[in-house]
Amino acid sequence: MFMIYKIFAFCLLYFCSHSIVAQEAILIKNATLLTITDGVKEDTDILLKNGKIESIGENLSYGGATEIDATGKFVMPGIVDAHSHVGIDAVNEATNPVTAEVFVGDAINPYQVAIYRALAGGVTVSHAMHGSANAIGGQCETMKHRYGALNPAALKMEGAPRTIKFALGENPMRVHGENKKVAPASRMGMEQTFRRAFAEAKIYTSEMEAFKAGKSKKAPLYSLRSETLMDIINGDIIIHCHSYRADEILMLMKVLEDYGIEKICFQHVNEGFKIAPELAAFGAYASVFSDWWAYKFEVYYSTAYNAAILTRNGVITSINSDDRELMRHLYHEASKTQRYGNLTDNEALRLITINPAIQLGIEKRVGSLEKGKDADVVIFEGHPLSIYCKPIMTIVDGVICFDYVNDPSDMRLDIDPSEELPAFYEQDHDHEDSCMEGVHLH
Amino acid sequence: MNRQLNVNYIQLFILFNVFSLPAICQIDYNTYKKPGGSIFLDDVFIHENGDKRVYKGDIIIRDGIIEKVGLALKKPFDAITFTKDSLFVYPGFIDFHSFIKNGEEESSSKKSKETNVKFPGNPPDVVAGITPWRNMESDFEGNDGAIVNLRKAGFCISQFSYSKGMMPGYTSIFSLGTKSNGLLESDKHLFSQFKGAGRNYPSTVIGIIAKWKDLYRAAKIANNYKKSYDNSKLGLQKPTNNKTLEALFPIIDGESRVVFNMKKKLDIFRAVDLSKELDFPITVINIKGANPILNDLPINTFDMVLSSDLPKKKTDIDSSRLKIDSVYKGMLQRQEAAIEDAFMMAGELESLNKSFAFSMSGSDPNQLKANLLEMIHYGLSPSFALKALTQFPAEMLDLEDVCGTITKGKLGNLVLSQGDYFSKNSHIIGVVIEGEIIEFDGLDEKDKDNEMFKGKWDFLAKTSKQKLEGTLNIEKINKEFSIKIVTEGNKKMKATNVKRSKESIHFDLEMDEQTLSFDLVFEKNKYSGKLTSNGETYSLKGKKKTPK
Amino acid sequence: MKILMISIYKTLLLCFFLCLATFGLSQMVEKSTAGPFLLKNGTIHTITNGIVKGDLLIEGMKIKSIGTNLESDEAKILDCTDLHIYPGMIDGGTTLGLSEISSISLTKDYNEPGDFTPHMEALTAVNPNSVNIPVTRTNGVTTVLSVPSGGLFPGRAALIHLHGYTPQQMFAGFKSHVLKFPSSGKKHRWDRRKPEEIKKDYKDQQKKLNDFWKSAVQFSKIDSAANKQGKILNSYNPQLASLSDVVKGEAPLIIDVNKKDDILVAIDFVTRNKIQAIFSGVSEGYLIADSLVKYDIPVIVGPILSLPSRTSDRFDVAYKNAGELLKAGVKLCIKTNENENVRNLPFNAGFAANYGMGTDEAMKAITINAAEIFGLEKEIGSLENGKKANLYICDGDPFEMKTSITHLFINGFNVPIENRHTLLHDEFLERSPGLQK
Repeated sequence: MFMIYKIFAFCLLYFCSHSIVAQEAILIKNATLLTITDGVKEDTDILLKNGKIESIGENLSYGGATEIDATGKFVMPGIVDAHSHVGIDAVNEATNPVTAEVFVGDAINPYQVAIYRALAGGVTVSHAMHGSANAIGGQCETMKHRYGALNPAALKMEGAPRTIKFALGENPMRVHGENKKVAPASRMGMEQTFRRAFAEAKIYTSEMEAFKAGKSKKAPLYSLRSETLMDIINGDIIIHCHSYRADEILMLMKVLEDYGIEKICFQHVNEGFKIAPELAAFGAYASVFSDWWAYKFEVYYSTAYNAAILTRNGVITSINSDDRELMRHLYHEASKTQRYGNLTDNEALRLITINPAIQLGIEKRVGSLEKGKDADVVIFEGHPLSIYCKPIMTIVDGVICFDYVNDPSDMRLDIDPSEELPAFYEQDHDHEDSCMEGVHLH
Repeated sequence: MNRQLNVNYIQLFILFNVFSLPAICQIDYNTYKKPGGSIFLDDVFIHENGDKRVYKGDIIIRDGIIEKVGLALKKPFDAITFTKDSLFVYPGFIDFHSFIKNGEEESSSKKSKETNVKFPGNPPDVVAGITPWRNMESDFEGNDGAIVNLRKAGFCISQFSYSKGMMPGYTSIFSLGTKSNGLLESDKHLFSQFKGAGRNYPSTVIGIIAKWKDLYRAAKIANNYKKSYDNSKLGLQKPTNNKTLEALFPIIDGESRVVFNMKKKLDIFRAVDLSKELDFPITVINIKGANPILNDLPINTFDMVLSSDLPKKKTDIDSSRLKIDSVYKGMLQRQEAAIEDAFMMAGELESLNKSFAFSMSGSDPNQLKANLLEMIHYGLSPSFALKALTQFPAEMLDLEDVCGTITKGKLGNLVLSQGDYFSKNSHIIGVVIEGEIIEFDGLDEKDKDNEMFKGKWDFLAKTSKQKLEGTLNIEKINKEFSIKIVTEGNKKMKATNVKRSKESIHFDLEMDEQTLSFDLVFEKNKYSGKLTSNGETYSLKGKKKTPK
Repeated sequence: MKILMISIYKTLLLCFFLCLATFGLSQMVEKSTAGPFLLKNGTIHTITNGIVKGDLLIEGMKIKSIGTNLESDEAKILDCTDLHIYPGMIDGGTTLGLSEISSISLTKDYNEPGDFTPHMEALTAVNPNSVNIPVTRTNGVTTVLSVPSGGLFPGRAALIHLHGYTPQQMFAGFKSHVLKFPSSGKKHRWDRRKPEEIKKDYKDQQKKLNDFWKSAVQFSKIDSAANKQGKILNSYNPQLASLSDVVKGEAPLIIDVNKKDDILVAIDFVTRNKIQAIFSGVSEGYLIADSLVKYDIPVIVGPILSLPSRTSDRFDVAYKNAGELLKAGVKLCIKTNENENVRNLPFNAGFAANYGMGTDEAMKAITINAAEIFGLEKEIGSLENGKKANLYICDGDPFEMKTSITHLFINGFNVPIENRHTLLHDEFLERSPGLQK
């Protein structure tokens, strides 16, 4: 009974705190701040108020604030995961090679306990993406981990730019070419799929504009797909493209160049290291795995030094999870770049903070400890890049969402009354693609 | 048999030779006209609506319409009188939504052929589950099993729709009388749900929502164009013929609303957000388990229709484990809390003064009353419950002039209950639908018998060769009887070929490659009967085991 | 010392030319070199005899001696000042060598269709030239158990050292049959079976297991009787025959089992049938650690980096499981269940260390304890005179990601710290040509 009460109280706390902005102030004292953008500050305090970082400095005080003594502890900005599929009920509308009109933000599921588990690993923002079944998949949602909120809308990061999923290579080729026997079945077909989609969107737009300007009486048949594609061409949506091989990445950059599209972040991009100079010259971003490889042929020629090589070549790089297990220890994934590529502490930490924030266009809000930014912070026992570290507290918008000491264990928000007991799942350790979730090949 | 043939010949004769005569001349001697022009309910307890009651009142129904309600009315000369002790009369219940299977059940081979299109990303609307131009008008069959069940639960009116895909069509509202001409309205609401088209577009909830936006906005443009074209055709191309888009015009013009069927509680948010974004009114039906999110929902911006289904209370609790396993205990407690939450939702809505109706498309009408009683136990008032079955759905269906209360001028739709409907021991003995009295013969009596069979009984069967001793275990699972013999040695044997009549049960047991047939007659706490094996008959009897 | 430096220069030079020659291929790993080697002035983590500052001499395939001021005329000398020497890590469950690219089924050699294939030998299918092997060993993992999977009895796992040109050269001297114990849980998140279907499948599997076991026991008895009487069984029954030693309790059986209730059933199964059992997986082991201790069943825990098995579990149960089992007194080692990323074994151990196990115990779990569980404690798992020279040298705590592994020795060979990943790094870090055409 006590546990239920605790959970209930916990939920209530969230409910209140997220429907209203956090009123309470939190003052973290004597911490080692890993600010990311302004070096490491020892024995420093940080005050969180009204959901924002109010101030950073020595000997701060604030009446009525909850004080947390962080002597000997490390405080870093909330971790940003630029690639996940957590918190949504549908991942792939795997029926058409082009589904720009669909939007995973329409199917947010705030009750997934995976969100809480990510919080327990210090992740405060994630990019819930459409899957990689289609060349042009759906639009994605940048999500704040306000776990406990029951309304799906509460998880949306208000003001975050729109993003969309593209995908190259084996996945769309397999789903459409191999399985449905329609184009694209090859990397040649992939290129033409993009070119056709953009070209048709432009024709549609010119017809629609003519109608709106009164030049033509009859409108073309409205197409949310074409409208969305045009938003991409106009630069209103950041492309996040699932990709592996160097050749296909070069192909897409050429297509984008032809349409004057500038904003793109390549996801996974296992062979990015081969064309790091080209990516840097284009201004493309890269969001990579720390060490996943060899689970399919297009990632056979990979290296765990990818992030380091890209970083050294000036590509803004992040490390993502694409997996609800990895998502819980992105700090550990980032630290692998120190074994594989000797990145400095700050370079490694950038991979999971400010860099993914830049890739999502939310770097003014999150990704570093700076005055005025969102109060998304994680307190670590031990340096976050050490194997002996532990996230002990995660704060989102100034609300404590995870507290190692007071963790109530059963953090489910949605109880199925008909279920016998929470089901046991055998461990299945399968790298192959959360990106392909919901796709049934036969 | 001969007579039957004769009748058919007569019919054929009439059909072929007097073809020009009006249909009234066709005669079917399998039916006959019932006497009387009106119905008189004498001295009954009338619940005119959720609040107003008349004790020992009378009701006169003529031509399917309520002519008079009041005290000590004069019985019309041509009336059939209906009277019974402690008869409680309620307005006919209104089911907000049900499915009829007619026309939807296609053979699987035909189905796969139809859905196996060349470009799954761009299938024809029919394959995509988008058929808003359809309605249920021609698919109603008054004696469909589903409708019989609805009537037995007290429903007199229901709104029906097809069930396939994201936008199966418009709903049609029917009176549930046995005649097939019960249509009240043919294109009432546009029915929609988050149900994908399998391997075709749209297959997921995100695809469906995108498709909705796409269709709706396209329809808006088409609607505007059609209006200006209708206004002046000069110099304008004629509108593109697109029956899908045209079917959305009534929604755009505010003449109709969308009924969203939900499967899980997040669907409510999705439907509400979609309706807000596209700006059309909606009704969300089959709402279940939404109690925790009531505060998060803008409940005054949409109509709510609850599923009458409730989760089952835990019966299989492992009490020995409960004592030692704190994790198990914790889980169980959370689960029980969730179950209670489900039971409380209706009452919670009443306390928020939010009117709602019930839909039966996701639940078993036979369970309606039991579930209502649970809801009442958890805070719903009987009068609000009655309104949710009558007045509220009438309002939501814009039928408040036609039904929902027992009022002069409205349809003669009544529920006849032996005893207070909201008490445990009452049962519905019949309904009146547009003046047609439909009585249910002894159904509830039978149900009582069911109760009588259930339980554990002594069992001792002897033949010349075999002896079987143990417990006779009779359970009711999903309306079917399951009979097991558990022998002394804890060996279990399951009976086959179970048949029952009002007081007796027949079943077979396979033993040593022989079939033993039992016919047992039950009486309160004992039974007696016979056992047949190899052409020989033996008698047996037993008593009910008293639970320790 | 000089000699080694020269050889390193040579190696580098060769590597450089090799890179030039195989531009764009980048997958040739340098050849290993044979000893003897004298590792001077290192911090030697013996595991079994504490930490020693001193020298370690490798001769042939073995550790010749550990001590101070060791000398050798022929040995190539390696200065280990400020460096640490550890015994090679042992992974208790992988598919390494048995699979190359998991999405391409024809490169997967760890499973056969059917429930009863105990006669399948993992060692047969180990590919010594798998690209995944150098990637693994350069993180200090020298020995792994390659495990078949699939049906109830998928075959016999084999312990291999990650160096050699034939499976036999790689074989580390331990094999064990594997039993995937029937599970009463769901398979994974997408398992849509209803509770009653799961129950039925579980019962079916239990029955299959018990029937098959009974037959194996019967076969073994008949076989023994035939042997005694000098008769030859006139039928070919490799499935039952291969389990003969296991049912007699003379050979081990690795039982893959995770759910608490299933573990209890499995304990009953092994005690009833007097099986020499090793449990593997054991994700809910922490709930019934006492029973495992009581029946003295060693376990292979892992992966440590995995999700809790139930949505209601605390987020870190998988991190903590090993530590809790250890505290209760269970003998354990760790597995990754990995293929291409077995290299994460030190990090799995590191998480276990951090969540309750402690560094020393976690290190033992992937060295000497693993060796003990596989009956090879006299050969591997620690740095002792006469043991196999499976070791690596690093510049810090090997669990820390910052730490670099500088040298690697397997079977006494100095194995280059090279693999596809390092080679691609070397080639592409500063690409030439860069942007110009």
